[in-house]
Amino acid sequence: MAFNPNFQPLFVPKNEKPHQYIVGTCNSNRSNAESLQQQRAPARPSNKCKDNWEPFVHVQGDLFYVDVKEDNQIKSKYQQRGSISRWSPNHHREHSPPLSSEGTNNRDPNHVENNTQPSSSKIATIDPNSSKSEVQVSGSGYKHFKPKILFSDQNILKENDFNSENLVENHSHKKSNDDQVPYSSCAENEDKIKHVYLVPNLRNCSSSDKSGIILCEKLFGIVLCQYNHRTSQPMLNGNTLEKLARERKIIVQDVLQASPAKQSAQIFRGDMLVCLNDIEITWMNLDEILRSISNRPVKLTFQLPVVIGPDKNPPSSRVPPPLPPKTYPHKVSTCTVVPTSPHQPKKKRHPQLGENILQLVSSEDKSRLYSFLKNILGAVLYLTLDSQEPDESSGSSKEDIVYQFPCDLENKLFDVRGLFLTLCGIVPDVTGNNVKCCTINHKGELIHVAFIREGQDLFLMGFPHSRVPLAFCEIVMKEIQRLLKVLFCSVVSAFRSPKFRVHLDQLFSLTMHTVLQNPDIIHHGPTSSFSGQVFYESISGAQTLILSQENMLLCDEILSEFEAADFDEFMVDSELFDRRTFNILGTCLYYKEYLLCNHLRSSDFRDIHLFIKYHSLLQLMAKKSVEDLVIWREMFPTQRFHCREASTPGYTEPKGHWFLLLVGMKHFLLATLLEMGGCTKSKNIPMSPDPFYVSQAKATLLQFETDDVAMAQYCEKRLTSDSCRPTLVSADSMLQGVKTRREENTFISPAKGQDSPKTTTTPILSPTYSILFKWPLSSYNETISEMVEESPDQHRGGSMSDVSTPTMKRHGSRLSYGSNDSGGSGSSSGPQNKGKLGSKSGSVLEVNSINSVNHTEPHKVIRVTRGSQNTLFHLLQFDGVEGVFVSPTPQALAATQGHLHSQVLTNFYKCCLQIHTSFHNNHTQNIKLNNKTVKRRGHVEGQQEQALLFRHVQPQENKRPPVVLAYWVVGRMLRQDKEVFVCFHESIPQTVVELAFRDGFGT
Amino acid sequence: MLFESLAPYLIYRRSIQIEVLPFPVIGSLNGVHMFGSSHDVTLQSTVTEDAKIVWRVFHDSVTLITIAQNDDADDCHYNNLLNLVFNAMVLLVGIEEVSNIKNVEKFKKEIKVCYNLVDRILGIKGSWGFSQLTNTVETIAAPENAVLQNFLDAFTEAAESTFGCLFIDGKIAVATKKWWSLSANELVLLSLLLSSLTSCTSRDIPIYLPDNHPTVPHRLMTFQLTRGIEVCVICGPSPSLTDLEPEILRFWKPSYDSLRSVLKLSSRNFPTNLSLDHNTLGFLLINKETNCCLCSINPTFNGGHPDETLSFSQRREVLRSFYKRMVGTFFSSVVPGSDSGPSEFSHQAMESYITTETHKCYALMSGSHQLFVVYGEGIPTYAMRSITQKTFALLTKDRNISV
Repeated sequence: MAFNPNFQPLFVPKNEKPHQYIVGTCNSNRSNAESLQQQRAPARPSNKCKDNWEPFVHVQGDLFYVDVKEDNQIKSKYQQRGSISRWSPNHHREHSPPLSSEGTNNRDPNHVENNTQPSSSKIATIDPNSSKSEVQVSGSGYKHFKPKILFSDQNILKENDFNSENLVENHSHKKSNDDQVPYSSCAENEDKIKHVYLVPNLRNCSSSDKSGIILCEKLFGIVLCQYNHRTSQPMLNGNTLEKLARERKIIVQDVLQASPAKQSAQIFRGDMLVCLNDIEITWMNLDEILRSISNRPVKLTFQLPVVIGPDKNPPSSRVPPPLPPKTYPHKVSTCTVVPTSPHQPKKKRHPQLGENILQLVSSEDKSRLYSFLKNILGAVLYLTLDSQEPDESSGSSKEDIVYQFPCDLENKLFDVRGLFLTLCGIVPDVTGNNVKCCTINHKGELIHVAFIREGQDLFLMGFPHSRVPLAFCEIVMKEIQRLLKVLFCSVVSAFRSPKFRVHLDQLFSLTMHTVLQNPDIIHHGPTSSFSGQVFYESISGAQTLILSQENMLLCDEILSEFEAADFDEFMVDSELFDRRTFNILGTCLYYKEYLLCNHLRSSDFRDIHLFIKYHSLLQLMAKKSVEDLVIWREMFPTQRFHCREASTPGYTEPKGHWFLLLVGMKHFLLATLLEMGGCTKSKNIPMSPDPFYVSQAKATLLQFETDDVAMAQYCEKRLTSDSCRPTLVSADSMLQGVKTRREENTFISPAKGQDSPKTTTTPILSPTYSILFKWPLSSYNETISEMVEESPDQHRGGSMSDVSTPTMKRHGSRLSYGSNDSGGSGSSSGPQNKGKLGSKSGSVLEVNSINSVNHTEPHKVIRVTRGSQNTLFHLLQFDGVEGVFVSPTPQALAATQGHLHSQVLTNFYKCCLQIHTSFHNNHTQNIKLNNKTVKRRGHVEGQQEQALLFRHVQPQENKRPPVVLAYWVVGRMLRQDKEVFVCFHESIPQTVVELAFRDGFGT
Repeated sequence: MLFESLAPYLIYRRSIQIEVLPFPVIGSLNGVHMFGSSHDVTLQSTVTEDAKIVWRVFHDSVTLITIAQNDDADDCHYNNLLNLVFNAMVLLVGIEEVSNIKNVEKFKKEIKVCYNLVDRILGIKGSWGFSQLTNTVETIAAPENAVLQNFLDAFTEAAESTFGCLFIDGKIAVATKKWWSLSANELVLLSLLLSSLTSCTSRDIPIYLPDNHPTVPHRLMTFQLTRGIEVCVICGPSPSLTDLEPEILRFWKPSYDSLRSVLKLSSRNFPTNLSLDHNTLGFLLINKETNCCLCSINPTFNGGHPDETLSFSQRREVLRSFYKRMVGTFFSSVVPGSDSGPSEFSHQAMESYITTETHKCYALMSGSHQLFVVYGEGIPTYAMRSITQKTFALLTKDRNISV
């Protein structure tokens, strides 16, 4: 049984290997790392390696292979597998059924096979097929397992076999089971049966649990459908009831989070439980069977629900259709799926180029997108000015269209393309610059069209205003342009060479899908919470998940180890002393849609991130647990290829070829930038993916899955817990709070009421201040007090002292936005004011209530606002240099979700977009305008801020005054390209907002 | 930088910054738009790195194309400008002439009377004001206004009219009730028209009121009281200019001292007894209901040294760009079409600020009033809100300020 990857090296012909393991054990961490390294199995000779993705390599050397674990995809997977296994005849034998008896027996053949047949080096670790059954997510026995390796105790191994929680049957195994298990009803429908091996979680259940349903829930995390309470009870009597109970099917209603069933990612709602350890299970014997379960792994057999209708994809979309070999007639609709012909020789199989990513991400197929696009005036066009002369006569000729997407669609934008061409021709004469964007109105609908001119060619993208605001449109265009350059060397070559057509179609269908938003949004309306999510797209950066220092270090270590390319042990001697094929320039790691770790130069990282973003890979990783994802292609990084800076004397960066390797597994995605050139072996271009590097990358990913690292669990924890982030509050609850608190406050502080002209918002004054004063000063407080000290210099005395309006005299009351300026300015009495302040309400010292962002105290709630009430709605940091941004996780959002809050968020994101663009437009303008003044000052403090106060008035019944919710959206640019956006209730004093800005930068 | 084009023939105005465009270029600019409209598509605007071209058709007869610097503002500001230019033609020529062009050559000649006004609107000639930007008329708030109101009412009555107005330095000091009932466009155009004309003691101009009486010609009579101060009335066929001229001295002589003291205010625009925060470099107060605005770029006498803060023209420029950035995107205003941008937000934007290295701006909406303030960089950001609210209260509560 090849259940354990760590074993593979044992079977490597080199006998020295095991000794290394023993040495490695002295340090547990180190040994772990080493044994992990051993997972990097010797994948040489690579030319014989039959990885899953191998048949999909494109002629140009590109690869886009995605295999997703999903119940309704199982069939397609099998089909793919089927074709592969036909291809490699010994495929079946490699996969031993994870049953204990067979497991031990089967290892030997496997062993022998590896030794005697090096041609089939389909080693378990790197073989994605078998990894499905062998990757251990979090086997608790894994830790004990390692020392035992050293003795290679077969019995212990056998036990370990059972410890793996995630034993999922694979194709060959399933077949063998089908032979054993008598399913009369399912025999002809074998695809509908799946077997899942789970380790029951016995710790969860107490002896008092008798009901099978509860047991099932506690042991496996599977919630069963209860028809009614009586059927589930064991004390059923009467024939009719018994018959009912026998015939009722046992259906999975839900799968609990963090349960064995969830981790297996194999069990879904609607599955029907048929057998348990090959014993047919009914409502009658459910309780008994479940009670008899020991702590040994249990084999659960499910029957899949039969899905009828459009969800069932035609087989043609599942099996990669062979593409017409290289002949792309001009303007042929390449988007249409070519029907499969199973008899096609396999060598002719061209890559699908991730044909069905769209389907995987959106669970909708192309035809739906196309029909959706028909109703929407959006298009991608690549036109040329050249070919206009020859056929003036035929007005409707399409000679000028080089590329169009959607390909067979004719909408208004196509009709008026002459307009764009003319504009593009004449506008430079008028303004001296090329057209960037233009807005047209068709039957009342505004459409923005973004332009990019490339010599005599014109690249256009049009989007309706209702979905894509102008600023967003420009951003998309800019990013697409960069991406095309990175992928195809130049925009012209991307569209001009027919070989890229398939890829372009895929790229644009994904872009259209994400940019125009999911068609379903129409039904939700613009105020739906989802629209806020879409505005994430407009931020050109990767969302990061900030790890704790410890874990960050771990990630860094693992990635560095891979980057070091120290593959000695895994390479054949002859190759070891050769030059390496590639030089690893850097890697970055994603978990779901979050960036965990980045070892790439910022420009390279942005290139790679654009690729990932516009191929919706992150959405894919977040939504589905990816079985196997390998993407390989040559790329032309912006900085290395397109704008090479003048090199420092004595050193020139090597000119060469660069390759992007993306490897995904479960929710992890590892992006690697490889360089060929300079010190590496030179090879012919195009290069097909190097199986060795792919397997090494996979092994690196596996390291994150091991028990000691368990990054996935940690990330999940990090995502769900809000201890690491500033807590947010929902706008809805704020409104509620205002209602109630206002009444309270009339009793607590009657004097406050007259101060505030608008009594609608509550004073953030609570009787707890005395406690707050005693809190130790955090580092934040120091910065605050510094600020306060500095401020008197900034505005000394002056006309502010004669202010008699009450707003200026309040401290810590509702209108506290201005309150700190009186405290800080010391307008009348200066620093000695402080004692007085404290006695009033302590507006300055109140900042004590802000906890420091101390990651070592995870239970401490981080608040960037003061007072007893949290007033922060939303926070977003953007680092343009690194190309990342941070914002609350969806989980945190979900906690604060509400109708009003989603409106607030939508406004927030729209605002951010506006502010973001104005930062960039204004920055250049300002320098022009104030060149003189800036120079004189000597230092340029590139800090800019823009803010907006929104007010929402909610009318109340009973003629009471309407409740008002007012909140700020503030954007600030710190230095070049570093931006923070905050959304908070207006009652926060401005000084405390400073903290929110500081928070993100760990100062 | 604006070009007017009249389909199918084009005439154009030349601006100071751009050389004359060759006829074919203008022809194709117009042709592009026509091509679009033949395909049921209206080309609205085109943006390049630093410029913006906006097309607009009026009454199916006149196409106006503007080519302007792209300062990141909403389209409504460009449309507002074009709208004013079109109405300027209506004001001086009448709607019938403009909407039914029979003889293009003749029309070209007729339209020449508008050139001065159009230049003024585009800010090519004379100092650049806020009237055309905000679509509200600039006023001057002087303590003497109450006195002057009586003089004006008496004079207007003598001229057998109800429309009377006193302009001081191009800004309205006082006007009759009827005058205030004119539409925003008309108010703005009339005040711009006066400042666009070369100064003379008295004149009599035929005008059409674009919104109220676009087809009926009226007579606008203006009389210069002293340098920078003009009184004007709109009347029917009578009385004649010569009838009224002798009356001027009789009616306005006693007001000479008040007029002189108002004239002294002309750069400050609001009473000296109001003192604003010393950081204030300038403000713009708009009343959406009365269509008037009050602007001051010299609100404090002892404001920072000109070397250290922004110069007057820079303050004006900052206010202008701040206004353009905010209105149409976040706030709605008198400018037509400015509510489309703000309506995309589900909640109403009430306040806003911007900080830069050299200055800070704050905007405040309250009821029908809008206040835009420019501060020096010295003001703490957190103090801006309260200071702006205080300023707002001061300005709107003062009885001398009628905005």
